[in-house]
Amino acid sequence: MRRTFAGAAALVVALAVLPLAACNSASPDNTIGVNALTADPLAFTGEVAVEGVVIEADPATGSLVLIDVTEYETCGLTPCASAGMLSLHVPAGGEPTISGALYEGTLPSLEDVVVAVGEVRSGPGGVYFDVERLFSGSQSVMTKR
Amino acid sequence: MNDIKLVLRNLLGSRSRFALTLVGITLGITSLVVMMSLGTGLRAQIDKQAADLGANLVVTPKGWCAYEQVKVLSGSQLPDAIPAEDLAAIEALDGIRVLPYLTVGSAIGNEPVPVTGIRIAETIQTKRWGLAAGEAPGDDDRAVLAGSAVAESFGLAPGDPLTLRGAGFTIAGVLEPTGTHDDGVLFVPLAVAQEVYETDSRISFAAVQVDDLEAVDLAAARISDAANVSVVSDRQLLASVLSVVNTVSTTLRVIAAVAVLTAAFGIINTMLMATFERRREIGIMKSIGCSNARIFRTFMAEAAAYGLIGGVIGLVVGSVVARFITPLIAQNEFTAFVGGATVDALPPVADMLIILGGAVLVATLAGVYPAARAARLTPVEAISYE
Repeated sequence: MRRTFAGAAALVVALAVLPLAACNSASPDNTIGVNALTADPLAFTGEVAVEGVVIEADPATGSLVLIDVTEYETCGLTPCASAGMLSLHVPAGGEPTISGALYEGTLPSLEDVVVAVGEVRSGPGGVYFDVERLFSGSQSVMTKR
Repeated sequence: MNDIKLVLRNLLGSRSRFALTLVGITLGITSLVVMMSLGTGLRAQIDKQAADLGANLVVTPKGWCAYEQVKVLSGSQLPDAIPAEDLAAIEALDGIRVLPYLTVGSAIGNEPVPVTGIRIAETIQTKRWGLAAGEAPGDDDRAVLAGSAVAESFGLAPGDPLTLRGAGFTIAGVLEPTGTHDDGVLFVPLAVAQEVYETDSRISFAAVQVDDLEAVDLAAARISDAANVSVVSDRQLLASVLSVVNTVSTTLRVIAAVAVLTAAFGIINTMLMATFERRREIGIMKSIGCSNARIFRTFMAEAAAYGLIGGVIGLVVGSVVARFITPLIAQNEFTAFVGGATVDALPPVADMLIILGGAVLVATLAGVYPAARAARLTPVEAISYE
């Protein structure tokens, strides 16, 4: 009886905890916000994961603009005055990025919460974020070819 | 057998059922304590941040929404939006003292760190900061005054080099802990921050101290006339933030109340089962002269005991859990603006007693229907069972 009780209790706890553990299992941990990155982009070195909400998406050019999740939660698609914006270039075809990259996958839609994994680089046009992978929720949606 | 022994015997008659019902009410009370701790902690934190700002008025750019104004209290990153000429016009007014802030950010080891440009000497004097190590940088030095928490987290000490926006800085000093978000900030001389972050001499906001506290409203009007800015009093700012927190707090309490209500239905279920199982016992008690009132009382006491025991355990468990959980819950979109310091306050003792009383009351009310059913049974009905 006690073993049955203990087993049932363990099952209940497991059922409660598993969905929490499964959340975002595929997307990277330790993400930073868009505002944090845009404040001092060159302070971030190596691979970083930036979380933001898509406020502009142009499938024709593969351009995305992200704002901070907290900004979106408060001000929606019209960013607050404090909103930093992160422009990403992830073309699936046509003109490649400044580093000559093309991507496979589907461009996220407006208001999608995405995590962009990549590196901050300096180029002739200034500082840019070179995306390696793009996640929407826990799904990988775009990857560099 | 006296009533207390009878109640205890009945409660412990089916230990697994007793334990499961108790777990229900305990979880409900635990969640209530955790949620109330969060609300209490947030309010305490905001009061502290507001007191720490030490301003009677806060000058912000026109057009900022309430969210941006709220971020003033948390020291979060804000845009550089007040031009130097507006700041100069405000500073030219008599009877006020202006502390400008430029809130930006950087990163150490890929961890975001808030950076604030301030007039170092003035701010140290106004906020009565103490130095734990090193010295305060001069207003033109490329040097940093590190908050205690950020210095500890990244092992910063006077003399250490640091790069902000590609420019080389040196840690000049480390502040003593203040218990506010200032502990997690790197402070840089305002003029240097404006140069490095290329803000064209703009600032994010300014805190204003008014000499004559009776003339705060007049000072606000004079500032609004002198510059193209918005002026909000510390009371308005506090009310604005607290209204957001109160909404969050109320929502959390409603969620916890639902948990307690669910536990109450668990008690009703348990007590109804007990009534059903003990029909024969009730019949015997009635046939030897036990009154309806006593049977009603016994069942009510059992239900109340669930509330009392579950309430006490819930308060203890909730208080312990709250220490670990509330800082994590506080890191979300709704409450993150308070940011920085740890949210770990427990509800006041009076609130704890109200929670305990509420648990007993809810459990007792949950016992009314099963107790009434038990008391209404006739000896014939009860004994003829089986």
